[in-house]
Amino acid sequence: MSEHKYLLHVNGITCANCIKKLEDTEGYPESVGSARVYFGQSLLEIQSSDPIEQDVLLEKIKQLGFKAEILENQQQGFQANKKENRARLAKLGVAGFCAGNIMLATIPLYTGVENLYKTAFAYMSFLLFLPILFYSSLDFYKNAWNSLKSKNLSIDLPISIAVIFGFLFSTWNLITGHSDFLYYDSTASFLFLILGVRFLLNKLQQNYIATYSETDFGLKGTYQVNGISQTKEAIQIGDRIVLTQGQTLPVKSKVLTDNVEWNLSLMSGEGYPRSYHSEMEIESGAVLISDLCQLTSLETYGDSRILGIQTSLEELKKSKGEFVQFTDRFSHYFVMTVFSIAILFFAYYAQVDAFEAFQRSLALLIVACPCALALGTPLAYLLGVYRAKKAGILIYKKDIFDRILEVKNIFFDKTGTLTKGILEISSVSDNDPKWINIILNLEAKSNHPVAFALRKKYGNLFTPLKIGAQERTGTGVTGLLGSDHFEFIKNSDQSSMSSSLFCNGKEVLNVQFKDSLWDDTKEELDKTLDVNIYLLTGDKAEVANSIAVACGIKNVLSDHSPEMKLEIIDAHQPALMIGDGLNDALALQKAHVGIAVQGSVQLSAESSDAYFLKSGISQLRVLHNISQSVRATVFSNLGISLVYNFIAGALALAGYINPLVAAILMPISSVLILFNTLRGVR
Amino acid sequence: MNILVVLVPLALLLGAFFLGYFLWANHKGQFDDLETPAVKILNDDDAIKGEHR
Repeated sequence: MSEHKYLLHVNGITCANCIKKLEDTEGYPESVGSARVYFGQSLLEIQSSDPIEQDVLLEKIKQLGFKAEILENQQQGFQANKKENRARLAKLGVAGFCAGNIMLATIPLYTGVENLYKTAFAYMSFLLFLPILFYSSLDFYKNAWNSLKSKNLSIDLPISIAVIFGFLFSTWNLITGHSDFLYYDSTASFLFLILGVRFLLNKLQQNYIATYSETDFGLKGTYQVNGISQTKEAIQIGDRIVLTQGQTLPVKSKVLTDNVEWNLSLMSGEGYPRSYHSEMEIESGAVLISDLCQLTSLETYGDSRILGIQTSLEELKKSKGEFVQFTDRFSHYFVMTVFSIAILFFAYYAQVDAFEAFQRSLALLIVACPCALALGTPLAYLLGVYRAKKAGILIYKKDIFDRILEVKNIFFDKTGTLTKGILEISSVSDNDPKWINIILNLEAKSNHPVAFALRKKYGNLFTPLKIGAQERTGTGVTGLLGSDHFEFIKNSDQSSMSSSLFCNGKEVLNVQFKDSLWDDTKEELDKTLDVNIYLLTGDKAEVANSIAVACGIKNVLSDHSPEMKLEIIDAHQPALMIGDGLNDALALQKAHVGIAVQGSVQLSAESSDAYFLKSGISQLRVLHNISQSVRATVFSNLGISLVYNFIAGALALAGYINPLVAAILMPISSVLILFNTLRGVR
Repeated sequence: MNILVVLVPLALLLGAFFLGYFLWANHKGQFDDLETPAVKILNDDDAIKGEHR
């Protein structure tokens, strides 16, 4: 029997009752065997013996009172993460058990047991080291081997060497009867610490899967094509499409209905709705604001711009080279240096005493294990990611801490990033409640952004009137109150947005709308960062300029298509891009640091390195501060470890390192690094 | 000192038992999600539901 698994992101899981409702299999089709909620990630995992129609599943969950979305792409990653976490935890558990008991066996050795007991305890620690050698450390060997193949020596190489050579050296001493020279205990506890930190770091990062999936750009589901409901892929050139409110146009089309309004912000970043008349052409990616629109398709989905952007995004993702972090380069040189010293020393001292030379070179390789790199750096990142999360920033790629400090140019998207992306009333020519109430009544049933803005500001002035309101799509609303004829219609002006109320053909009231800034935008931009700040938007120059003036940005790049944004970013690297729309996705992917903000479309969020859970840009500064403290900590760790390695290395070569010294020195350096990191990234 | 011959293996056995138990629990997915069970425990009407059936 085959198992079918579905992973869903569910909005609004807030309490124990929600979990209970969602996990109760009675609410689902019969074939569902189990439903499991992951509370922290707002995920629902459903297992079924037969395949379930997606629509059916979503409908069932809707009946339970939740809004859900099926995550097809993340499904495999989620299962893989789960498996990996279990494997890591098992290795950590085994290492913990063995390291603890090795220490128990080693203490009698240090305190001086004799004869048979000494041999017994020595062999016990040998046996307990085997699971660590052959199981817990497997990932280190794998990474070390890969790093050798790619000729970029990673920190896992010296760790592997310490484990393997530590074991061989100690075992050889054990067999030849020198059981005073065992390094099992220090190597095991060191390894346990590293495994622990890596497990936590990994887990914390994985927790962010799907947190950004709350919005996609509405291309899922079916479309009315030639009278039957079909998927977007089935659309042929010349097909007749009927779109309903809120749907996204999948292909470039010719409009057949007069006066329909579209939201173009997805592709252009333009804030205000735009009216289209019949016979006009409209690009894919537009979202319908009006109730209904008939169109004739001019291309297939395969040729559409919206798919083109997705495709080039995939290509960009693949071509993006791995960023070599400072610590990786450092470890590369560190490993080379230690190796060179060990070999040189052996070659030199072998003429004096070959056996002693071998012993001391090995001792150097074992004690020179780089705590700062193996332990301190991941821990610093872990704390950085954790601190960022508490401040409402999700870090997808932890090297963002290094990247962000290299940024020279910052690009802000306008709609949704600097501004709220929703209409607000900026001014009214006359505050007379009588007129305002008439407007409210005219707009009472409307789903237009203008109506929402009015209701938001003047909702309390509303008293119902008997007004026969009729929405005239694309222009406004009209109605009759008694014998008076009222109209509330849009003024034709592209740069700003205003509507006027006419009473029997005479203008009585004018309302200006704007896309307003987040409250803290100006404040945040005022605290100058030492970089160039740009406004990069697809919106019209007039709108962009007024926003730029309002928040004090001098460099304005308006009227930019997604492809043009990409070029701009490419020409200004290292650049940081903050945006939310589909039109920003390419730029976010290309930028040295790409950050998506609250409300971003899924593709943008997936292309970015970090995600701001709060609206607005206030968290950019927080992220910058965290990055600085992470870097400072990593550097001071390296300083400590250099001093430690210099001393320990010299001692090893001079022949003063014995297991007891190693057992004291290695934990001391680990503890120093841990303490320094905890203090540094708070 | 002779008692060690019994005590040390006993300690190891006990430890190994708990390690095995931990590995089993891990394999069964008990540590996949540490947040949901903490919330779920607040819901105590499983017993009532059982009576209805």
